[in-house]
Amino acid sequence: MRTRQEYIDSLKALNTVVYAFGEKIDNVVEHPLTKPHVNAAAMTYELAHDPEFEDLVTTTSHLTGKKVSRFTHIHQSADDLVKKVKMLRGISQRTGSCYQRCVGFDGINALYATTYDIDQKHGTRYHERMKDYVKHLQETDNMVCGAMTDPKGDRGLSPGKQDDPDLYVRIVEKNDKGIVIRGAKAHQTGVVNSHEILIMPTIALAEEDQDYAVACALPVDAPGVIHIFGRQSNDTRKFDEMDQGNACFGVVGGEALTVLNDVFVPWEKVFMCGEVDFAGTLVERFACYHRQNYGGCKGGVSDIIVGATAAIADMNGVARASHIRDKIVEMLHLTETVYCCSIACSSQGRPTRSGAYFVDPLLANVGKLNITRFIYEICRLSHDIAGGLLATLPSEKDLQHPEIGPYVEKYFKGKADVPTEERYRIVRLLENMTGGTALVESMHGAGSPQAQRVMILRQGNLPHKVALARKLAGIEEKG
Amino acid sequence: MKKVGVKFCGNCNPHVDTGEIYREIQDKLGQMEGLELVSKDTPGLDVLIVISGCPVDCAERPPGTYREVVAAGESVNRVGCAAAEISEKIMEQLAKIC
Repeated sequence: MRTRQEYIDSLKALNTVVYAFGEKIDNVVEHPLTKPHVNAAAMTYELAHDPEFEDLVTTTSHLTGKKVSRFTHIHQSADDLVKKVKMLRGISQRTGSCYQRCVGFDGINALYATTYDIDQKHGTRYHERMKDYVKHLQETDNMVCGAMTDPKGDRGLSPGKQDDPDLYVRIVEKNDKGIVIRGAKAHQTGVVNSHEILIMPTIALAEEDQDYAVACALPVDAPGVIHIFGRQSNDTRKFDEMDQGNACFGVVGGEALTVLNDVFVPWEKVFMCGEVDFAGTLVERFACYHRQNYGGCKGGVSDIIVGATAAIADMNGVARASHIRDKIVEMLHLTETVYCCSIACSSQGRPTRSGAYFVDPLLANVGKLNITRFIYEICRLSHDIAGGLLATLPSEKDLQHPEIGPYVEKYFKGKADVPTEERYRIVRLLENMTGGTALVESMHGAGSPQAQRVMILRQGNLPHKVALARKLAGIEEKG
Repeated sequence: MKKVGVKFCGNCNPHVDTGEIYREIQDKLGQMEGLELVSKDTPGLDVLIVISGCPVDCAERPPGTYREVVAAGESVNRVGCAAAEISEKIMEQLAKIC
């Protein structure tokens, strides 16, 4: 397994093409826009070598018997699924932001199970390739960006009916060596500081969309790949220190639009090529694995928000007020509720035909739907308690200014025994963790709320509930 | 010389500072004769001290025939104690079985 430093050094060796603010970023490891996300991902490597965390962050490969990073593991039991959630919460408590590796982790698990099923029906050989790919990841400890979301263009039209056929990633050429793909993937978390990209289709596909049924792996710096880094709210604060709030690890994952300009992929890295009948299965499996995560990672992030809120209440001298304590209780309750959902869908996990374990899809979707509401409520309560300072605090340059700094110091003081700078730092942490991009990620990451509602209705066993009600109501069933 | 190993749970949401408990045990073991702190993976381990961050105690146990002392949240061998007393209680349990 790579160490933290080996991961960072390995990124320097890549020729990843990244643009931001209209300029090319030559060194993602050092550039202020991307460095926090590198640091967050690096934490997954660091903790794998820490005895206090290795029980969750590492495991034993079912393919090689060797000790591997859990982020490269195929779940072999419900306990593996539970440990994944616990690992995510633990890492989030140390970064306060997204460390990006869960997407590729979920991608390899979804593809592992689905390639097995494709082979069973179509007589293909994808699953052996997938096993080799997983072994390669376990050996290299490479970070994989799970790339599912296409730009999608007109959402009312299928991929093949779009005005521009490239709005969903598609196969434009097949030859004896491999395939050539074209298109783009949007909102790619952590892609600029990953080693590889795992391409998957984004929706269920019809027979006429065979060219869009493609799953494959490629290097992030493959010829034809360009990454355009997305803006975040407050992102120019990455050039400051205190005003970032979380200067070391940033906010959410660092997302990019990844453009694929006729990128060649050799056959040994192709895991789906035209099997439209399994695109929907793959998407659903990936989505459920990914929705499983949120009570873990957002649970850990919420732990930080709750802690920061309790700290600012104390610094403001209101920690003992009953309404403050009640709101803190509510925040704790919401945090543990989302965690419960992730633990529940994991403990109810079951094996697929491939042997890989899969979460309970209903509970996973319920959990993610809760995230789209509860994180907003946790953040709302934090704003309520912290006060208007969250939105009006002057910049760190003013605090440090030789002439006006003493005024900022004097008039932004809370309790007498709390240094103003400490209060300033906690407010900035809260501000950056609870607004803008961080909130939107809770809404749309792992799919928008309606996607979860569709799955909940499908998995909700409604006819059974109707039958139960009819029976208790004394309605006799005919025939 | 009896071989004593230490295993952590993974610390997803710890109630106690497991690293601090470990450091205290390290100091105390250094002052005790007849006990040697070794890697948890050492063959022929005599005792495994499990330091779990909360009462769930989900730490996986390595294979072996060792005896256990388990700190799980604010408890040692399922008897409650204050966080500051955990390393001392672990040493008491060690003394009983070694």
